[in-house]
Amino acid sequence: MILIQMIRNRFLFILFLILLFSLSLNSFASNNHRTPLIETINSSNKLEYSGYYINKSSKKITKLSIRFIAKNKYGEILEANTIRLINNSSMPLGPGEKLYYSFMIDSDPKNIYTKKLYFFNE
Amino acid sequence: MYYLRRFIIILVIQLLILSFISTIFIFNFNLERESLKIQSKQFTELVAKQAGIFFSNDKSRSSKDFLAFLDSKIGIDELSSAFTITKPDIISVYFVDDIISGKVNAGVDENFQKNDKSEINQDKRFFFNNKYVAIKPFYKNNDETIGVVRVEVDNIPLVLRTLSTNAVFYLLLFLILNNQAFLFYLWTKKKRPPVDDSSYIKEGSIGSIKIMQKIINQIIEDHKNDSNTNDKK
Repeated sequence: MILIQMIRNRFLFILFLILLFSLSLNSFASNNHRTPLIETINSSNKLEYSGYYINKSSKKITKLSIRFIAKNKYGEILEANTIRLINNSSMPLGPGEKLYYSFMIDSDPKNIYTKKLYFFNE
Repeated sequence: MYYLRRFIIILVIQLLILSFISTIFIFNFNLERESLKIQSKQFTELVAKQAGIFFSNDKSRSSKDFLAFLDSKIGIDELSSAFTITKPDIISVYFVDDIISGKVNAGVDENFQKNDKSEINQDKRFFFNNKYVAIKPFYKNNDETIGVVRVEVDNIPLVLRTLSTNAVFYLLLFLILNNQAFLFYLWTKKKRPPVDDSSYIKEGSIGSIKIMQKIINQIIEDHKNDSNTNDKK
């Protein structure tokens, strides 16, 4: 009986450590190779974004896309766009290379409260 | 009832220990958050200074040109390298006329300083503000305000970072405090009163023992009487 209890306690302890480890991994996963975007309002009163993507890995990137999500003050999605930055395996982004990109969103700037950016690469 | 009372006492002690550890966690988290606030303010100030230099001469207000300018002056990658945990995603550059005309909600007051009460500067979930917003105005020739630079940083990764870096410390603290609680229990445990020689016999069992003694005495007497009659014969 005591042995079972000891094994169970050890199992719970290891599970706890694994949970903490995965949490620590999550915190570093959010810190990927991205550089900040510049946001301005252009002449047509729309939000315009410009940025660079730097390939800090040792592999070539053949597919790269960016997903932008804009939400209002109630947390509802106003606009969600996925923009393909690289979609051609014949023109990959090599290690250390920098890619300029720019895009614009249609939603009214004054209604946007939260903006989220996600990069997807292969 | 006895077990329930014990269980409740254990639960209360565990809650006390966890609340103590939580207080330390909040203290650590606030330290990290203050550090991030200082970094964000310095970052925004640096970008605002560059924006003042660039937009004093440039009328096109192009984000592409400003990005190229920042990259040439500071290096866009180096710009955010000071942030180790969470980086700002977007550097917003809003101009005074866009803010005044209401085209954009920059979260500033009439002096183009950060308005802490503005809804756009808050994202309250899990009982605290999930983002920190740093806003700095930039000036034309250090005199006339021409716009503001706004940077948002996410506080959520800080929670995970604080938890992961201090996890072993919290775990050891939990074990040590539990150990201390157990030692305290041993210290305060009441001593049992010394046991009398006769106290092991309950009152109820004395009567039955007396009856048994009577029966045994009767049997012994009968046995004696039988042996006496046999001798006479």
